[in-house]
Order: sequence, then structure tokens, then C-alpha cells
Amino acid sequence: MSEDIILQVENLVKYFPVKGGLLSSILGREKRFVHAVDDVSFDIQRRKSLGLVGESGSGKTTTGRLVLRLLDPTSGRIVFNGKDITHMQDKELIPLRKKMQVIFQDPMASLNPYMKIGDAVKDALDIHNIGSPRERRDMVMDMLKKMGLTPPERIYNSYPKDISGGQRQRVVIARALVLNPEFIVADEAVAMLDVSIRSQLIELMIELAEEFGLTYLFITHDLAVTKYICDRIAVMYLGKIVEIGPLRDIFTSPLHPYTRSLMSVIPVPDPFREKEEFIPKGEIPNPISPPSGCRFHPRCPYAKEVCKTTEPPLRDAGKGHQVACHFAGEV
Amino acid sequence: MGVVLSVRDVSVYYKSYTRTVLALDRVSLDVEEGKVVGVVGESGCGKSTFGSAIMRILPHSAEVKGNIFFRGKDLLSEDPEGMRRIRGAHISMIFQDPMTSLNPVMKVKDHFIETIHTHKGKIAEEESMSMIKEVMDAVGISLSRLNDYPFQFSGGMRQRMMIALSLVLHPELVIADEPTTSLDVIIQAQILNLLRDLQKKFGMTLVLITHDLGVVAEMAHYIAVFYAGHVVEFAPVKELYKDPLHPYTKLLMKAIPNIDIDDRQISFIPGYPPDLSSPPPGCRFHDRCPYATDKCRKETPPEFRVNGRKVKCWLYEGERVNE
Repeated sequence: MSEDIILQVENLVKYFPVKGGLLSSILGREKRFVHAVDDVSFDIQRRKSLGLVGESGSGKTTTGRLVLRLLDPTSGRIVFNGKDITHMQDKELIPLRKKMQVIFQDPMASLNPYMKIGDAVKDALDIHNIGSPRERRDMVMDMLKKMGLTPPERIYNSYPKDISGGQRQRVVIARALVLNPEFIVADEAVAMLDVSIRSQLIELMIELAEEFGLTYLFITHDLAVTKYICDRIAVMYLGKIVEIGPLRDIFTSPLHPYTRSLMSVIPVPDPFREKEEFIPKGEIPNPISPPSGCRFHPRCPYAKEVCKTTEPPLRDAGKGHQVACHFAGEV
Repeated sequence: MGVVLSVRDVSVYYKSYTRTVLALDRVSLDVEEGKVVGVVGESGCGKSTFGSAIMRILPHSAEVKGNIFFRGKDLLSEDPEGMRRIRGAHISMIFQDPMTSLNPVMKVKDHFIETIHTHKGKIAEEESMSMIKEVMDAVGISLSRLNDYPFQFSGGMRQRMMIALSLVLHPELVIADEPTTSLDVIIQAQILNLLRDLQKKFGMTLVLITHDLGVVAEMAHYIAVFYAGHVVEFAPVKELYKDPLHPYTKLLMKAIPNIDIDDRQISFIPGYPPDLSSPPPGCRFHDRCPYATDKCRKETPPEFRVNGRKVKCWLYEGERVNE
């Protein structure tokens, strides 16, 4: 194959058991499961970031954790850099963890409040035993400087509470990048930040991707921000990928009704625009007992009988664009 | 149209042992009856403090100066009992997180009954039920769910309930503080549409506080842009979006990602908002402003009037019209 695939995910499934009470276990009730991720497949090419978009409960965060092996999949296969990592033991995973890092939403929760910023970043180097103590300090300083955290000497010795939210998220990125990774899962990495600070950070993430040759799995509920940083978009709904394709195609000709609604509800700062809103009814259903057939059918205005009974497979819509809808392109 | 709410030179200080933060600095704003005013700004600009100051629900560490006239009455000189009579009945508030605003061990119905009884006394069951029915119908929740507890609702449903609860006594003024921020995008759109419909239906005046310029574009009549404790610009919504005057408004507007795939140039405001325990001299935006001059660094700009709009920026000095 000529394409350089960094991550390959095949038929990934993750069910979380629902804890029943004592009564259910005495009565021998059937065990129930949250169908968090249900048969998800995608590839990510090196240096072609994928945006994973969906509402709360769509399974996007679980997918991110699974590919990093922070969670064990129920079934399916994860291949990173050509190596099957699905069943790797923790010890084997350690060297891989240098190559794959994660940035979470809330930097305050990702940083130890009692640890100096510099030490928090250096910790990653200590764990992987990279460089001498002196070199480590220099590497951290360099990284802080790159993140625009200046003066680095002062930042090094401050605590998370002493810096702003935007700066904290830069620290978290510095900590991820100091190991020189290839692949980063950014899980709502900019969601908590103010609009201007958010744009600053996205700009930084784009620059870093170029400089370090990074590939992102960019998880977000906000479709609008993906256009700056992603090459492809996958839209998840209730544990399934309903549409996946090149960024431009998803933005200009979304095929799944759910993708179209996600596009139409983005608040646009323009009071003159005649807005054509397409808002699905109700809310995302309970993933313990997902709807039959197409999981979106109870909320879909175009749903017909077949949608209630038959699950639509992901089918090709040309140019690497796939969609799981019986009536894609017709509605 | 009459002015329902008139905020005059309101300053709010948060005091701790080590420092004093000037969260609002001599803010003045009028809100006309039946209109929607969007209060927009980044975290820490004072927009939530503004809402809470009107409701008089600031923490004890806060010191408030100035006047807040609601129908001619100064809320800041009301005694606690007087404020209790106003809150809920005449001015109500919708918060960001309905789970923390509702009592988790109280049934939904009891939240309504408590609100009604507090203001109307022990009125007949049928009468309260008809009041509850009106607002529950309006937000689209079945009456059969009145005996449920807040945790039994989803986030979007809880926010609908919160809205119903805030409207049950038909207040003249509703302050919504980031009412959709913790919700998913689709639910956000549902709630915004609901708020817009209800505002028309009940004819209430709405102060909508949000960090999202996109959210208010669709429903506000006027926008007040807050920055570092000041109202830096106030204008009718269409004029503001067509031609933002203050450099901060301009840059903030550019920083919002739109859905135009051909417009992928990312733009942002360099730097961070100032620390309000030691605000910078002059205009508070000067260190981030591309147009800043020496004057901006030294002198705080007053409010200039430009074609009936208000803007706090020295760029508009020549266009000043004395009031």
C-alpha cells in the first residue's frame, strides 16, 4: 500500500456492563450493557488528522480512549504503525505510549495541583528515562518556550493555579509533546476555553503538527473548529460512525441527516442570515437499549419503515466519503 | 417603549484578604421593555457578575456601588424582604447548570409549588396547577412528569424545566446566564428556539448572558459587549454585526469559527484579558489592541456616541456628541 496509515481501527466494540443492584443479581436478571462504541472502523493516514464529531453519549471519547489502549475493547482490532496493539500488555505498551499521547478537556484536572509546571512536564521524561537530569530540564524549558509560555524560568517554577486556563492547556500540550509523539488524541482539548483563547490554541496545534509531523484524532462536539485542523471528519451517533469523509465534502455536501443537523445548528454570528435550521426531535436515546434499525430513526424527519427495521451499513459515496443512511443523497 | 431596567454606574468589587478585584467598573445600561439584550464577553469580563448584581445574589465578599433601577425602584436599596418579593415574581433567572439550581431531593412539582406559594400565599391547588400547566405546556414537558425528581430528567429537559420554573409567575424580566453552555449543540438550538418563542409569547424582557456571539446574533435586539468590567460597546444587533465599532468587538467577531469551508484563516486576539485586581491604566484593551495609541495607554476612554450607538474607544473621539 502506498498510503502511510498511522492508525487502523477495525470493528471496534466497547460495551460497559451496567451495575445492577443486589436484587437483579438474586433474580438472575439479564445483564445489561451500555453500547458505547458499536462496530466502529476507520483509518488515519499519517499527518492527515481526523476529526471525530458527535454529541455527548455518541461514544467519541470512548473511541479515543480505546485507540490509546486506556480502555480494553470488547472486540475489534487496533493497529498502530502497522503493529496490532489490541491485546498488548502494559509493559509492551510503555514504549508505544511515547508515540501516542493525549490531551484532555480540563487542564486543571490533568495537572497535579501540588506539582510545579516544569516538574509536571519533566515527569514524562523521567518515566521514560530520556536524557540526563540536566538535559531534561533544558528540554522542558525549550518546550515551554515553544508553547509561548514565557518566561520559561518563571513558568517552570509556578503551580497550575498561578496561570490562566489557556496557559494551563499549553502546559498539557507541552507535556504531551516533550516525548516527541507521532499521534495525539485531543479530546475536547479546546472546548473549555474562551473563543479567542481557543483560536490561539488551535493555531498553536496546527503549527506544532507541522513542526513535529503530528497526526491528531481531534475529538469535538463543535463541527466548526474541525475545519482548521482536520483533513477528514467522522461523525458518530450512539456508538456508530454515521458518516465519514474528506473535510470539504462533509462541510459542503453532508449526506447523513444527522450530519446536516449538526451543521445547521452551529450558531452563526450573522443576524441577517436566513437560517435554515434542521433540528432533530428530542434527545440522543439511551445507549443501554439503542433503537432498532438505524439508530437515528426516532429523531429523523425522513425516517421510513425500513429505517426502523434494518440497520443501514456504511456505504461508499465516492472519493472516500461513506455514509450509513438508507436514503442518503435522496433526502 | 419604556425602560424596564436601568443600570447606573454600577461597580462591583470582590474583596479578599490579599486583594480587591474590580469586576464591574461603573457600568451603565438601559434595557427596554419586551426586548432581548445580549450581554457578551469572555470569561472574567464581568457579565455574570452583572446578572447576579441585578438579582442581588452576589456573594458576601462583593461590594456593590451605583444604582439599579427596576421600574423606577432602586434594587440596591431594597431590604432582603423586598428583594425576596421581587425575585421570582418580577425578575427571575435561568442558570447555566440546571442540576445545581434545582433541589435534588425535591420533586419537580414541589419546586413550582414552593415558588408559587412564596409569592402568592397558599392558593388553591387547581389554581397553581393551571399556572404550572401553562408553562409546562409552553416548554413541552408532559404534566405526568411533575412527580419526578430532577435527576430523572436529561440535561436538555432539566433546562426546559428550569425555564418553565422561571416563567411560572410571569416575571417582567428574565436574566438567562449562559443558559445553553452546558448543553449539546442540537439541544442548544432547541433551547434557544424555545427561549425565542417564549419571549414573544410572554412578552418578557430578556437579558441573555453568553460568551457566544453566535448565540445572541439570532435572538437579541441589542448587544452589550463587556470587556474587563466595562461595557465597551452597545448597539442594536444588526448594526453591531454589520459594522462593529470597538476593536475588541471586531476581533472577537473574527475569532468565531464560521461554517464557510473556504474561510480557513484562523484569527484570534493576541494576549489575555487583564488581571482585574490591578487593571492596566488607560483603556483596558490597549495591550491587545492593534490601534492603540499613547492616549489609550494613559487615559480611560469615556463612552462616545456614534449614530445612537455607544462605544468606549478613543478612535471615536471626534464623533462625540455630548448628552
